[in-house]
Amino acid sequence: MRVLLLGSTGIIGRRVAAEFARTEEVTDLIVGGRNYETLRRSTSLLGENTRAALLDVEDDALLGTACVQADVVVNCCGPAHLTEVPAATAAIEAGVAYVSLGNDYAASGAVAELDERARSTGATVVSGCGLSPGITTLLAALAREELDDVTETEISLAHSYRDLPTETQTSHLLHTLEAPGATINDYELEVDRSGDSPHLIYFPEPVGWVETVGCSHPELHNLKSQGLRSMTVGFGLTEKAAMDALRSLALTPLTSTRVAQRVLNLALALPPRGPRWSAARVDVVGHRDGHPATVSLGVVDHLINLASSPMILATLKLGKGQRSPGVRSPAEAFDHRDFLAQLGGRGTRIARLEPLAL
Amino acid sequence: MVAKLIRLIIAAAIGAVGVWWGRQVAHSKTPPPQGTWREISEAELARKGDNAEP
Repeated sequence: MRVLLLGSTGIIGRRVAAEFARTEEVTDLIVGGRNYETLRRSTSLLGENTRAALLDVEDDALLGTACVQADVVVNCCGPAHLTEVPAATAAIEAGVAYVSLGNDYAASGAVAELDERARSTGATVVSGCGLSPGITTLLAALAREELDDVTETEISLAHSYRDLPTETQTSHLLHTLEAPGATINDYELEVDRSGDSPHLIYFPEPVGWVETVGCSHPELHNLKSQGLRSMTVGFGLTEKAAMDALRSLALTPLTSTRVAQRVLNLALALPPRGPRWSAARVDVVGHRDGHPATVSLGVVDHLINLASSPMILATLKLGKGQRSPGVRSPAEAFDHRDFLAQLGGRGTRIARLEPLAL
Repeated sequence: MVAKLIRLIIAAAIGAVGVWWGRQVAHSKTPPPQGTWREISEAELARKGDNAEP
């Protein structure tokens, strides 16, 4: 399998590249990036099946030329609101499979609209295959199995900023709280302000209780076809002072990413400092045997594993020929049980909330 | 005039820190666990996989 990896010099990109370099199935690995020196250094460490390519997602022609040399394009380039659409478009035009974190609401919606074009070129596009969308999409599918019908879905995310305090991550977090938040309320899509409705959510240990706020999130694109009565997505940082600072920064116009990164790093010194673990929780509400029922599933690991493992597994599955052309959510493209079992095998903890007996 | 403005800014800054600190204290106590998170094993996950790979 030939893999083109975009954003291979970032933290997540380096992790993905290192794993592909020692995977037998990947016979040819092209690592793309904008900085020649960084690329050269990382390529020299990866082995003989690796080639470096100086690439910029904004250069359509160069990106298109690189895409046709691969079977699967993996996009670790961030932030998604800037890189997702050009990278997905190039892969679709080249007719090759595509996997990405795709964790931006507007970009994910724009990629969903390329579905027809992807079908015509034969490209399988799994945009949104990290923690969320990605693992949360698969957990929602797993929870649905236990219910006769589904009326509500609530997705909650708790990130540790200390886990991945990069400029790209900061830019993504700011954008998540700055962009309008979308929810489904009484079967209607409603666009509201992000950063509102704070409430405490109990995540798998060691994360525990974290305050989350409503946010803009692409999971709606993945789950909207289910005819849900209600759907919300909430987001919080395990470091409370950093979360307060992030919410304030998101309300401040013209906040630069570098300034935000400095402020958040300063806020990390303030108590209470939450655990250095990240988690997600999916609550699916519906009916079972005619009675109301709720299934709550969660996942916990370090953010770098939660983001990179699903992309690695998805790439290997697409490389083995598990493809159906079009823009697919991870739950549509893969068997969710099999995928989650493989994630569990990599050390990611998947758990079910069993309420306390009254 | 300048002195008044400086006093106002200092008062606003102290107020902001006070509100933030009050919030920290108010939220320092978390509720008891909502339940028990039971790990789902690989075997349990793979059991019902219709299209699971061998």
